[in-house]
Amino acid sequence: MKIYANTAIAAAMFAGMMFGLSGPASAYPDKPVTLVVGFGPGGPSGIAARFMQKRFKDETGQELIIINKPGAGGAKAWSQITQDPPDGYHLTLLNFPHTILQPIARGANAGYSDKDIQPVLYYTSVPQVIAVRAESPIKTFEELLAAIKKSPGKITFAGTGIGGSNHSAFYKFAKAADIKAAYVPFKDTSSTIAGLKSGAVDAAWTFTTQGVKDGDSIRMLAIAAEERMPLFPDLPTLKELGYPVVDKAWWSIGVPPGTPDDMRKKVAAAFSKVVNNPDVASDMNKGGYVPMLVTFPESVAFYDDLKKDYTPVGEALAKSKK
Amino acid sequence: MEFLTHAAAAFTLVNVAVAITGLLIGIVLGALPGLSSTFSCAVMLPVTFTMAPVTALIFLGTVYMGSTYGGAFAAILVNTPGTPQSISTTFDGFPMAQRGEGGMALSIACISSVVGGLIGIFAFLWLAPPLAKIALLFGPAEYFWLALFGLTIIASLSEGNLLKGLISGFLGLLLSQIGISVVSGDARFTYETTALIGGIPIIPATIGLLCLPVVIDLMADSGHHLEAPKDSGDSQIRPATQAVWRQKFNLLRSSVIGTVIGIIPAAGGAVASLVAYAEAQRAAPKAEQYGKGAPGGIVASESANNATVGSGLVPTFVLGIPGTPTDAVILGAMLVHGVQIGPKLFTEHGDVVYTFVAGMLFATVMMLPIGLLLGRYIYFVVVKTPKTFLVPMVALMTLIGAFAIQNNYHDVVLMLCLGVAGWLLSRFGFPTPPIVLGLLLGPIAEQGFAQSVMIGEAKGDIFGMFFGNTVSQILVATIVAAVALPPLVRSYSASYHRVVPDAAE
Repeated sequence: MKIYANTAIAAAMFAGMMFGLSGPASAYPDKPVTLVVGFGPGGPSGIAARFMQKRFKDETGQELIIINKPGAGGAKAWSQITQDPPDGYHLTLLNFPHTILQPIARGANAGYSDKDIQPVLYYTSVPQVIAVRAESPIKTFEELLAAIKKSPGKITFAGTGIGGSNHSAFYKFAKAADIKAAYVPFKDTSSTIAGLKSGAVDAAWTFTTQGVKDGDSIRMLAIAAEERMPLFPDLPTLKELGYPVVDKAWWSIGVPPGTPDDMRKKVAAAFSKVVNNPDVASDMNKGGYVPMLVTFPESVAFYDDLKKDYTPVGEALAKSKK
Repeated sequence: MEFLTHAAAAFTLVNVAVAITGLLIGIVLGALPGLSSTFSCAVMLPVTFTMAPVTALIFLGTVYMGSTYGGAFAAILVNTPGTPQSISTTFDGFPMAQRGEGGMALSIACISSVVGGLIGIFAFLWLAPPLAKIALLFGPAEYFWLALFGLTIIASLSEGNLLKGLISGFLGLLLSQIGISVVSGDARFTYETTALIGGIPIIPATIGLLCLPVVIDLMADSGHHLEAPKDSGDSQIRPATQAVWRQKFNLLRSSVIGTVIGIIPAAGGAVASLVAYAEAQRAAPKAEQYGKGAPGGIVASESANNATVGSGLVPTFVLGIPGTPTDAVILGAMLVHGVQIGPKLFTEHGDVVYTFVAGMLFATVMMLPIGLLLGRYIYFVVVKTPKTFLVPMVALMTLIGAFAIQNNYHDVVLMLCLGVAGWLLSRFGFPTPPIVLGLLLGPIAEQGFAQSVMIGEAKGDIFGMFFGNTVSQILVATIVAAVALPPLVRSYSASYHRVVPDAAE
């Protein structure tokens, strides 16, 4: 009988390992947590995840293991969320508006649908900016606008990907300002900036993180945020300039569909502790990221609002291609 | 001499220990097929969180340097580039190993890597700000031409049958179309499966196409994996040094090519070593020996890829644009460590930069004794290991390598399918390296072409977009020379003596 008992215990332990069942008294997290990132380790998303990883152990006592699963603009990772156990230990970094725009543009080829996207904690965003290279004769936003109006369709904007956040900002701004310009998609943010600096394109839609990284070699002309950023006090918002365009990229921690509400709250509470660590905020600020905190259940409403904002944009972008 | 004042800080006990450890970890990870430099640095990133920023940089930099060199081990001994940078090391390294000169090939790779690595770092140290301008010369059109030039070496990889080589190359280009298109956003050839939306990733494909056929042949064939070493186990250092010395111009040229291509953002060590290889072959008096075990091929590939390590840091540090994919990880690490990069880095953070450079120089020099010693032992282990152990071990490594880089089970299946397909194709005389080449260069060429057309259309001058710049014109001229010269030279020399067909055919 002893053998049976041992087998039963082993089986129970195994089941516990597989499904992440833990005793009712145990606190979350009581073992390492994995976070899947749908991009390579060096890009804005990879870095956004590393900010958390650096302090996760200090705040929770457990490791945060980051797994980079790049491919198809993040879709490779997001298409596999439903295969993860909903136990709070298998999390995926979600990018917005990507996860809203992609299923609209790609349909059945997206690999996932908006129901698979379950944000429990929004923790950072980066506003988008219009930038030119340092050598460009265009010095201000007004000069850029004048150049576009002088030769409609001839001024080129670089951006990352088609139907993504840069493309969305380009579209929104072109609509608000009633201008015609050309959008040229690049593979990733660093190729976008490289294209801009080479002089092959006239301007670019990119993120504030690039303003930090590329310092004096690119010139930011306007920011698509509600208000000016402390890091760039001289950079005017598009709103001030008369065009009410706000467009950012947001990052959230996502859980697989079917995760119980109390587990969602536990995940959100654990990550909130990390985000509230002043060092994390200061790391993010220095890097051009804007720290934020929207936790479950408010994160659901936040997602719905983003969907409401971006669905028409996504549909328009998909239509403009045909 | 700001450099010398800060260099001493690299030789603290901690920094020296970290540099050697990083180098060893890099060599081991790089030698395992599929574990690329980018992967190695990313996996080591969390370890650096507790280190001082400059120590963290030295650690990641030496892991990068070590893995770029380590890739040569698998390339030479099992025909699998340990990292994509050593794809072109397989072309001559494996044939050399097959005929019993593996020890020699490894020593040549080591010496070339050290020389190339040092040249790249010195370029970074002395010329970073002016060299960074090279990065700005490359727009979409220039990338298109550069990728096209890389594709011209298909001719040399075709082993006598150019048509079959070209078919393989086009097969690679076709495979590179699969997935979500960067320039149109369309899903191409994905058939609504999630397995294919990410396209055919280069590392699992390379392992499948280059290594799996070797594994299958090993199982099918009762002979030994590699010829027993011809030499008695004596040191190969002297003959290897002599072989490299005979290639000194090649070594220098390839290091310079590696340095320049390393600076071009996102081109990376794989493209650098391919271009250096193509140039070395073009300039070689006995070009027909390339691809059949010419030491010059290893010299070109390994010196060029290690040169990109140092020079890739030029745009990374000066412009904030990663020169190679691995530099993106290093860039991220600097950001997480709170080191601000950009044009002011050299003046404001001279201590970090120069201490880092000194640490890198030290580690690269150390790579010579460590690499030569490791090379000898690993070579004898691989040669002496019975096939019953070797085959399962290599097969297991291919599985791990295919999975590790993107953590995706799909990639393992893909690697196996491409491996079997590659084996069948090579049975019918279709070489597999051109497929890898097409896969690697196809996306660069396609994106460059489409972006150039888009910009050209907006400006109303498509022709000028492709041919208007000096860099484009130089690249076009080089491509024309690469395609036209070899047949001319061949017909010229054939009128003197008939070319003897390869005995192996």
